[in-house]
Amino acid sequence: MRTDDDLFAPSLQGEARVEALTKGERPWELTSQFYVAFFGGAVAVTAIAWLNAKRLRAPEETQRWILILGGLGVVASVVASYVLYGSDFRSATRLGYRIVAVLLAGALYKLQQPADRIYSFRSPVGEDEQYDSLWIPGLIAVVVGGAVQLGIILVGVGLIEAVAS
Amino acid sequence: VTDPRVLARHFLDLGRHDRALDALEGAEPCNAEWFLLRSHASREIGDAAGAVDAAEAGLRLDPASVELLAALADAAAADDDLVLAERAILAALEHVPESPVFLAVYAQLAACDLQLEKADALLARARAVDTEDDTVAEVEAWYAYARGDRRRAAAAARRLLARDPDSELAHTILGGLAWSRGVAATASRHLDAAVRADPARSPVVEVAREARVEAADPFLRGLYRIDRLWFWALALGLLFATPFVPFLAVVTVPVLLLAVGVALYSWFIAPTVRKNVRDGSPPWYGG
Repeated sequence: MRTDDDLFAPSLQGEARVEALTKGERPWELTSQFYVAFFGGAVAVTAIAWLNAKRLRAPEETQRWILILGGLGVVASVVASYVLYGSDFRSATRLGYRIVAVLLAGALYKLQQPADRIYSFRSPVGEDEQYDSLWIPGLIAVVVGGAVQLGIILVGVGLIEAVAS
Repeated sequence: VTDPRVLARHFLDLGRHDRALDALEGAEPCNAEWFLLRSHASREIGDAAGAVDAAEAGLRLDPASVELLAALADAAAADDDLVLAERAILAALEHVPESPVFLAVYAQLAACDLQLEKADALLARARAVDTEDDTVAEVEAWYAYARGDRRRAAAAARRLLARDPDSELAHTILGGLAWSRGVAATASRHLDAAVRADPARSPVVEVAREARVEAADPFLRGLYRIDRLWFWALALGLLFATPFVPFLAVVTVPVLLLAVGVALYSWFIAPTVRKNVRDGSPPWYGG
C-alpha cells in the first residue's frame, strides 16, 4: 500500500526521452518482432525484445520479466517439441519451436506495449522516424538465436529421451 | 494605451501566441504575470526552453505562484526535463495538496517516466477529488490510450468529445484506435479533425494523411483491414494445426494463399500506391 510519503516523494528519473532519437538508438516496431519469433524462435525474439525494452527505457522490472518469460519460452520450446514430435527432430526443428516462439512473442508484445505507446505518443517526430528498421538486427537474431535455439532443442529433446528410456 | 499584458492575454485567448509574444516585447518585464504570459506564449509556439526560462524568472519574483509552478512543470516536461517538471509540480502540490489538476499532471509525468504504478495511484487520487475536471478527464484518456486499454481510452475520449467536440486529444485517440483496427474511414475522419484542431502536431498530420490515402484507395482499404495481427495469428495457427488435423487444409490453403497475396501487396505495391498519391495526389484521393 502506497503512503502519501511514497506518492509525493520525488522519483522521476527523466530517462525516457522525447526528443527525436537518432538512427541506432530508436526502438523497433513491436509487430515486427513476430517475424523474428517465427523464423528465429524463443531465444531470438527474447533478445530483440530485451534490447528493444532497453531502447524504450522500459522499467527494470519489464526487462527482467522479458528475460524470465524468454527463459520459460526456451524450456517450453523443448517440451513442446518433444510432446508434439517426440524424437522426430526434423518436424521439431521445423515447426515445434515456432509455436511456442510466436505465443511468447505475444506475451513479450504485451510487456513492451505501455513503454512503446508512451514513447510513440510523446515522440515529436512522425511515425516513419520513430522506429529503426528491424531487418539487419532481426536477421542476425534469427541466424544466431535460431542456431542456439536448435542446439538447445536437440540437446533438450535428447536428454528427455534419455531420461524417459 | 492598452496594457501590453492585457493585449498579450487577448492574443493568447485567440490562439495568436506569436502576437502575444510581440505584445509582451513592448512592456518591461516588471512582474511575475509578465513572465507567466511569456512562458505560456513561448510554450505554445514550441519554444519549451524559452518557456522554462520565463517561468523560472517569474518564480524568482514570486516563488509561491502556483500558476508559474504549473507553467514550469508543463514547459519542463515539453523540454524533456521530467526531473525539473516533477520538482515544480511537487512544489505546486505543497501549496494546493488536493488540486485535481496538479495530481493529474503529476500522474502524466509519472506515466511519461514509465512509473505506471505511481501514475495509477495519482490518477485515482485526482479522480477521487474531482471526476468532472477537464484536465483529469484528458489525462485519463491519454493514460488509458498509452497503456493500451482501448475500451477505457475510447470511453474517456468520447466523454471528452461530449464536452468539447473539437478536442484534439479525443480525436487523436479515437483516430488512433480506429487506425489500429484498420478502420481507415473512421480513422481519417477523427485524425483530420485532430489536425484541424492543432495543425502544428506534425506526427498526427502525417498519420492523418496516411489514413486519408488508405480510406480513399479501395485496394489499400481492404488490405489494411486484413493485414492485422489477428489475420497473421490465424494463418500461423492454421499452418501449425493442419499437420495434426489434415482436413483443416481446406481452410489453410486459401488462407495461406491470401497471406502471400497480402504480404506481396503490402511490401511491393502499397508503397508504390502511397508514393503515387504523395507525388501526384489524384483527385479521387481527396487531396
